[in-house]
Amino acid sequence: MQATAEQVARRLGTSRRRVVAAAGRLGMGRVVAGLWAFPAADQQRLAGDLGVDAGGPLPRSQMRVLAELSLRPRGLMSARAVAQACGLAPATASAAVKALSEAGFIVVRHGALHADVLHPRWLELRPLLRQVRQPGVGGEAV
Amino acid sequence: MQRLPVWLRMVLTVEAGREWRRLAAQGCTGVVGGAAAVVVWVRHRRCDELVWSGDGRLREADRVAGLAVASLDDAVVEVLETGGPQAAADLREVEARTPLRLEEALVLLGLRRPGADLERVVSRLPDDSAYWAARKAELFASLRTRGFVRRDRVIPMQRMGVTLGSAGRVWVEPHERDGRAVAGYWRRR
Repeated sequence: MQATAEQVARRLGTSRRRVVAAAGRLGMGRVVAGLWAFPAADQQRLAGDLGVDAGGPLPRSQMRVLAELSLRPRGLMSARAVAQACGLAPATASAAVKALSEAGFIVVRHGALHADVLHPRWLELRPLLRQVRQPGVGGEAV
Repeated sequence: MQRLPVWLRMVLTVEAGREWRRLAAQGCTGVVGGAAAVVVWVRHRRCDELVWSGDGRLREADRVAGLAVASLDDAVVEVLETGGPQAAADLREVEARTPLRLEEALVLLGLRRPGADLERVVSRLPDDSAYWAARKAELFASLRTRGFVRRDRVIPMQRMGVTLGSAGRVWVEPHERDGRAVAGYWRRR
């Protein structure tokens, strides 16, 4: 089923502008009667490229960081590593890690950043975090 | 003895249900855990035996029909420790029906048993289906990765602008400058 740029943006939790820019960059979608139209396969590719943000009580970057850390049993070593894993700018990731640490969502154990899965609000956030998809990472984990 | 709610009767065998009612009437202080607690929270199959939870629970137990039942997180950690085909089937259902993923269950297991060998726990999961083959690879990767994710050297596609082609810019390959690695970038001619 075809979707417009606005519909894809709403599903991915992003702006129409980012969707259209990604479509132009990846050569996807087509313009029909002045409107962008994306078939299902293109929507999947856009979701993989841009990631999916579920919204929620925390800002987008913080949700991404928490979603990533909740899937790392050994944590991540630094804010820069978080930035790379989440597809965020280092400054954004660093600010998100700082804010989450102050709120108690991130703790440092064994020299690595960990999500505090025992935080009182964790169970409220968990369903939203599971909907988050990080933007495509074209590399091998080390 | 009080009757069990319908949904609970549907997930317990007659004998397990009778045992539940008897213990609830006696005021049993034990906490139902493991596979039995997973069945209570996920309701995906019938449970024929009540399993009791150990010490060191991470979350408060809830009261269900007169007995304390360990939280889903604690129950999943106990099932993960138990291992075996039935445990694997239960864990698969947990992943399908709840937002709890096994990576997070490994985090919880690490908190509950700080000395636990997480790689060994993952390696005990079965290999007999495409689901577990894929998930085990993901779980091992999540255990190994602590630092940077190495990305392939990919020339980023330029944003389509008014100017077609390379828009007057050239791609500079990743290189070393003054002994430091410099990532590839687009620059003006």
